[in-house]
Amino acid sequence: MPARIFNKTYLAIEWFSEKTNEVVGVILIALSTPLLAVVLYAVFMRYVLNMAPAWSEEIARYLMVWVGLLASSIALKRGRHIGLSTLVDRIFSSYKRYVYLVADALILFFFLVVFIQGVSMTKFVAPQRSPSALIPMWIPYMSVPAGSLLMIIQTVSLILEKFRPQENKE
Amino acid sequence: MGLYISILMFAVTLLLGVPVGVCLGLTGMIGVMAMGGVPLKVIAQRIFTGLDSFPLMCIPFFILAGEIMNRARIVDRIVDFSDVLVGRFRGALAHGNVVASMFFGGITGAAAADVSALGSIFIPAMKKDGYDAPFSAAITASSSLQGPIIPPSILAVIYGATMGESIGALFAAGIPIGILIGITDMIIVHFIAVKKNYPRKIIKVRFKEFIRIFANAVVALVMPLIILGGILSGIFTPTEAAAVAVGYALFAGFLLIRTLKISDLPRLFINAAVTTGVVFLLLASARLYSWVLSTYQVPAAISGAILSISSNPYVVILLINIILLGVGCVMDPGAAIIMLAPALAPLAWQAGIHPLQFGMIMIVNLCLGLITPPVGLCLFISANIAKTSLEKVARAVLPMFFLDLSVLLLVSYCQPFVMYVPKLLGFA
Repeated sequence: MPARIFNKTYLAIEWFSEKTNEVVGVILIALSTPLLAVVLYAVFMRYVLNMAPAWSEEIARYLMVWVGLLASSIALKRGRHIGLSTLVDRIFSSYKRYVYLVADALILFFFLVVFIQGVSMTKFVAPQRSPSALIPMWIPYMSVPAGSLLMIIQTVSLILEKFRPQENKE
Repeated sequence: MGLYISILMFAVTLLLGVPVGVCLGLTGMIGVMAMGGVPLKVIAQRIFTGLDSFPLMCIPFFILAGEIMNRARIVDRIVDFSDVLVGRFRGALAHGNVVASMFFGGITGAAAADVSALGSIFIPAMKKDGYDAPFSAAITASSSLQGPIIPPSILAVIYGATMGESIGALFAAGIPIGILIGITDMIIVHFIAVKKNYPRKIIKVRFKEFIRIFANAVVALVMPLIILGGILSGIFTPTEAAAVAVGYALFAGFLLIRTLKISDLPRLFINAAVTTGVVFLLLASARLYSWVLSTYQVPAAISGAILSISSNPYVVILLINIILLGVGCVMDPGAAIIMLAPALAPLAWQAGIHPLQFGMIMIVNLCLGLITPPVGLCLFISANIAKTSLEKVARAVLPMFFLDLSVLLLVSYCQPFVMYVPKLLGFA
């Protein structure tokens, strides 16, 4: 692939990945604020008024799963998921770039499968509703494909990033 | 067959530098595929149900509470208070580092948070005062182990949620063990400080001044009391206590000491969520893999293998500890708990270990992996802050590591020591 086209693709994906993370950040705030509020509200209701709402635990759990899975993609981009990368640097010092590429390909494979299976699981549970809050179950389950889709986006951007220095030497 | 492929897969992916969370997930996935006849959407289902747990909600809340306390510069107050307490001793800064970690352990549930918050304060100060860099980094890393042992503790939450053990009781048991780890660190500091003639940092304070510094630190010191007291008196479940801890951190940051700004909040929430995301990927994948392992009846195979060596309780506990130390070297402690606790706990119970005691054995043991190469997260962070090499820090941390091992032995073989505080507080 000619360097210029590559660079353009890279910049586009990079822009997209950054924007995605910004949007995900806003969503995370929008989900974790009610998460905290719901649990504190339940404590208050039970302690002060002696009646805890039955739906609160369920809603809080689903919000938490959404927060965790979405935030995981930002963590991926920030390199926060820990692996043996120092060992890789040492063992494969001269071709570590290719090793990382294989690693990224494996990450991509994992989240692709999780995405596809997540979609099918979401469809599968669509007719069900949660026991106490009666939320359609596809809503919490959609966090799995949504999170893995974001992971796929970030992994692609990380892969392209590794190719970049080769294309235009600084 | 599928099992061996999956274990091989785990080792290979790990060596390729794939993040541990994804390694576990990939391996679990291959395991599911190898079962044949099991629909693959089980993978997605396990990931979801692995996270969909109310007790696990402690984790994001404790992380957020820690972030807020950190941002509100409450650490500074802890540091000031620790300095006053141990300033008169030789190697004052190193002692202060350990004591501050003890207090900080009461507001954080993870070691990494401790290393980065206190390391960035203590390591530069220690280097400036003539401490050598590897030692500064090593004492920071080793004292940070108090973070996940002194309550709140993310590992205790994971253990409690996995094994159905009382999280409150695990918290209570962590108090003396965490403090003992701090004391062993201070013993090492004492000998090294005398040998290398590290400076005192005599802070002469009048009684009034001492009271002021103490009062400042109280803001941080009451947080573990709120958490433990709330759980103990039955007012809160652990999850609710964690949410209340966030509420308290916000109250303290905005109203008590007023170092927090509204504009800090979005970043705090996102950062806490991202840290949660790291833990949750590990948890979800570990739960998936653990389900695969139990389907292949690996837990039974492991306990069979151990019992075939010896059925003597002391030997069984020793073998379990050796296995855990090995696993802890390469695996995240939380993930290791999820995968190994169900397999190892029944063995330990047979050997006369109290369920609560076994929880503490696993937590303390796996924490040691945070200060051993090759992954040693805490060594890695502190070496980075001290701008020195991982090898040097790994060597400097050895004395602390050996004394921590002796604490582990005490936890493993001295039941009254572990059970005393939980019993005292009415948990067990």
